[in-house]
Amino acid sequence: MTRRTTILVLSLAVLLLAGAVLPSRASAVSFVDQQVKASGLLLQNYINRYGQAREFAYPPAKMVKKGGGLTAPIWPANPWTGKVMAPGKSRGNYTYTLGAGDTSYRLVMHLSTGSYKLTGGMPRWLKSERDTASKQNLLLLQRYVEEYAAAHAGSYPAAAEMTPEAFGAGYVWPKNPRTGFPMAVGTGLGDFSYTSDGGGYTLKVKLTTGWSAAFGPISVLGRLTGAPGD
Amino acid sequence: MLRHAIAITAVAVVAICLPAAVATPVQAASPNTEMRESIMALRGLIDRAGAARYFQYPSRASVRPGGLDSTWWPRDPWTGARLTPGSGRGHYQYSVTTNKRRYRLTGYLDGGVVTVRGGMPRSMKLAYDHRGEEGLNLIRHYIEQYARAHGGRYPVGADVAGDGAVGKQPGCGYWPSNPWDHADMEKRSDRGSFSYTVSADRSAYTLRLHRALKSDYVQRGAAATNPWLRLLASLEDEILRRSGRILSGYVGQWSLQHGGELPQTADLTAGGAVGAAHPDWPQDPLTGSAMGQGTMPGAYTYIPGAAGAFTLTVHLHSGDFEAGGTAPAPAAAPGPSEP
Repeated sequence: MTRRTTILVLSLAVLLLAGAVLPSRASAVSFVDQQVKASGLLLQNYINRYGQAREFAYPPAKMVKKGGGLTAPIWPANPWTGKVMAPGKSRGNYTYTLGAGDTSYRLVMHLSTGSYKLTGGMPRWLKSERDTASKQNLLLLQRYVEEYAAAHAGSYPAAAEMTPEAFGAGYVWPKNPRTGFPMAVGTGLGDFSYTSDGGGYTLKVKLTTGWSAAFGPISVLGRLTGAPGD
Repeated sequence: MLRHAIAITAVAVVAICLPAAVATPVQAASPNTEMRESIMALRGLIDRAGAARYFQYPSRASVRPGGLDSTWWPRDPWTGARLTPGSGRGHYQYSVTTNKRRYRLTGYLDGGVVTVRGGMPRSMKLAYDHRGEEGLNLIRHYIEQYARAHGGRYPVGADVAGDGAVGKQPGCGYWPSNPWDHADMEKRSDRGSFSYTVSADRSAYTLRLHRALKSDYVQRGAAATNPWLRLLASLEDEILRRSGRILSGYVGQWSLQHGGELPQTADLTAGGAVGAAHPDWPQDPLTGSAMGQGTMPGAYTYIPGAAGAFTLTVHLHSGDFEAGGTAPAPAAAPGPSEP
């Protein structure tokens, strides 16, 4: 074999090897990135299930890791290292960030180059639904206030009396649709504001858009003043 | 020259192969594990779709590649293709309940299956149930308001609706919404809906909310339980008793003026022959209109009998009052005198 022939054979071998390896490498990288994306969806599933079971309050960052407390039958592995997929910015790991009020999150999966972003949060419809529930509850409170006045010679309750304890078990006290606890005077979402000088009152509820319109005495019920309610 | 060529070739081979080797996963999961992960990931897409649609989960037809709102779709680990419905290895089957509140997803492994279930979170059902109770209580207040404005008589079923007489009262502009369908609460048998029944004399009612997690939530009301309405009812009953005596007097007067004949049933009404002779016809205190024949409180039943006897039953809140008796007959005309 001449030197020329040897060089030609080696060059051909390199070309063949490059042709075989380079596409498979690209394919392998792509496949691994796909695996990382799939793992991201898996993690998102666990995060979503946690949030949905808790009125859309999503888990803190310290929980989003293996053994962190999320219910996770299968925790994905980092296909680049073979170790458990964990928080971090290296490829095959992820970054989880909780949004304001714990009602949204962002999960970034780090790929071989670039990243794959997943987001989640309280559905938009639920916000308006809770506002509707808050307004409905305010109407119920208004009726309770009127009943109180009917049983107390037309005198409306003091602010301190606007509690389920003061009204008693005969009244189904509305719950704050955001917290699941009885509605209370306050400034948080779903809380209400009540002021009274005894002869009148103002009742409002805090919505996502701000304070609702103020409710006052129901004039049509005024003729019942002084008559005990049921 | 040859040595240089061999060295360059060796470097080229290393340069080509090393990154490829580094790019390869260190530890590949088994296909069955990957399939489980794919099923879990698919469940995530289904859950996401359900949460976006009021916790109504997608139909069977839409759980397939391109059917859910996702740019990424889990893979069949054996073929590398996108996961598709089927009953063989690397496929899945998805089913959803009729009301779309729960689903089941089964993935087919190499020798076995993995099944996951999902549905509307219990916390949401609990919240919806409570919201239904709040809505029902608001309706109850509207019904009580109606009764106060209608002499203590509760509304008939058809009136208990947002567009019915109860919902159209002043101060009742907002009708509670059913959290399950986001429409007005209606009288139906499904969750978040309610039923309403009222007694024949409309003095008592029962409201039932159909809940998801518990049996029906029941609220009852009766005029008798309300001191104010109880007092009103007793006053109305006293008025009705007196009205019954007045009507009885009209029957007697008719008998005297008609040779001992009693008025027929149709005559004893405000618009009948007796009523024509007595413009000051007694009023039903419950409705404010002229008393009429019927079986409800405020109405009466009149049955003429033989020999001047008649039955006149006035229906009160507290039962019936019998105002009937025997009508007086005109004195017999004096017979011919004895010679």
